[in-house]
Amino acid sequence: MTSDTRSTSPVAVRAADDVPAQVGASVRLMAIGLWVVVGSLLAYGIFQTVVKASALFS
Amino acid sequence: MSVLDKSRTVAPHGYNRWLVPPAALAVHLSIGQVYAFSIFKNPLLDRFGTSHTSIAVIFSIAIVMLGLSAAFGGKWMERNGPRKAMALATVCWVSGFLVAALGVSLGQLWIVYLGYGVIGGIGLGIGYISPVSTLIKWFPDRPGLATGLAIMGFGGGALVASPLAARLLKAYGPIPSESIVPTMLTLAAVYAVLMTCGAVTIRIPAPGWKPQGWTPPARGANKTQSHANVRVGNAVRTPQFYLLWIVLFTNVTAGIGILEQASPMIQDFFPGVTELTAAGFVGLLSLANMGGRFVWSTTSDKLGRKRTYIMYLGVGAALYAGLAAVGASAVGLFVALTFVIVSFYGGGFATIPAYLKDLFGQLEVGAIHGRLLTAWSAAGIAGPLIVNGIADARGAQGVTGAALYLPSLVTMCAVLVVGFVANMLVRPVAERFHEPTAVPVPTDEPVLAAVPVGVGTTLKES
Repeated sequence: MTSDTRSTSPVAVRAADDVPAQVGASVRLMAIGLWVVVGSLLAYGIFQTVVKASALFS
Repeated sequence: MSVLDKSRTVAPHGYNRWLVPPAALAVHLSIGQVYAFSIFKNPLLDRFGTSHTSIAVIFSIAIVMLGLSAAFGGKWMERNGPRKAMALATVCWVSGFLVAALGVSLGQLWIVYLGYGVIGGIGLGIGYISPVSTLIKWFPDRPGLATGLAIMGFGGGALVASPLAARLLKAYGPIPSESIVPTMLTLAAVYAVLMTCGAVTIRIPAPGWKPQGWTPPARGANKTQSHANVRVGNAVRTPQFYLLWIVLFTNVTAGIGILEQASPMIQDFFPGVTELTAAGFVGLLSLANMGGRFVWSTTSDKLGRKRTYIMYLGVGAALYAGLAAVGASAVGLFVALTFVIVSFYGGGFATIPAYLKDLFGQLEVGAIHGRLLTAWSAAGIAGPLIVNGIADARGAQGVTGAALYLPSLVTMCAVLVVGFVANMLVRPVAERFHEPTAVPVPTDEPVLAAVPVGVGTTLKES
């Protein structure tokens, strides 16, 4: 699930390691927050549409 | 170095790939609003006092611009990375709303055409293709799931925007035509935040990255799948590109055949069905459209892309024939048949980037996808023309009820058979179009440039 297999080239490894850990952590946090937001929006849209579609069976 | 640069979006070591889909969804949920444009139709009619066609042109311009900008912007997007593309899409989509709001405020319809249609349409096209190739690179083992996740958001965008815009129109005043401007400004603000969050969080995998423990499957399990890469310039010279263009065109045209006429169709088939019930039917089809994008595209990872399109087009043609023959016999049967047809329509959109990846590799799959989306624009014009043209002609002859749609349904069945044949003709791309093993690397990317052989090899493998 996670991404751990990569090129063993020292240049590639150094480039990735240059990314500050703090930035990595904040991006992860923001991405998780975004999951919550888009998930909530999708749930809202689906719920509203299910309510609308229920008229078909009433 | 700009924060928008491709090199600034490379994921840190150990980055979880499941943190990437929300960035794609944020963009697609925003631009998917275009499918809910009809919510503005009546307020705009009241505001401008013009014809239905004049207002419908706004949507048509946006869809045409989507195809054109995706076709011409795909190569730029591949070169500059997803963040810059998402930022451009955000600027265009949000500016489109702002300019359109200005047009409504000034009472100038041409400014609305320019804003929502032209500028917003460019945002649509760039936004649509920008996260797709990134997700394919993160999920080389499950490209159907990846593209299904992103493109499901586009279908979901309408489900969110439709009730949201309706609430805003009501909240800003008793007369919807006077509430359009604040509603558009509010939506612009919401989409600006959401899409910016997507652009900030998007990450591309480091060169040479592949999922842990995954090795590219041997050819044979999926005969059309290749591990070679084909550049967009070569891809458009292959017959496979045009066969897939026909496949997408026919699948979209057939889906529009139902979606375009869903509400009047069920009422004509079954006179007892009320307008409210018909609205429920339209809602159900929206769910089929969105669900099909994720479910069928994910299924294609197991079934294989060619077989999946055999299902969309072959089973779809049979369902259309069934609808024409026995659809009028029971409401439940009619609803079930149309539900599956529309789910295939959504699935066709979501599976096509994975099909392109199988045939042309992932190197420039976003740019190739962009070129292929011109089929969507063409189908967006052809589909409604066929359905409305036939229905109008039948109506003029005094035909009513289910018989009104019979020729349309038979025509759509034939259209799907054409797509089915095109899909059956798809073969692996000839080796002369493949890129050499060591892929040439742009000089502005030091990491890639430092390890050209390794990068080329891994790209080919994944």
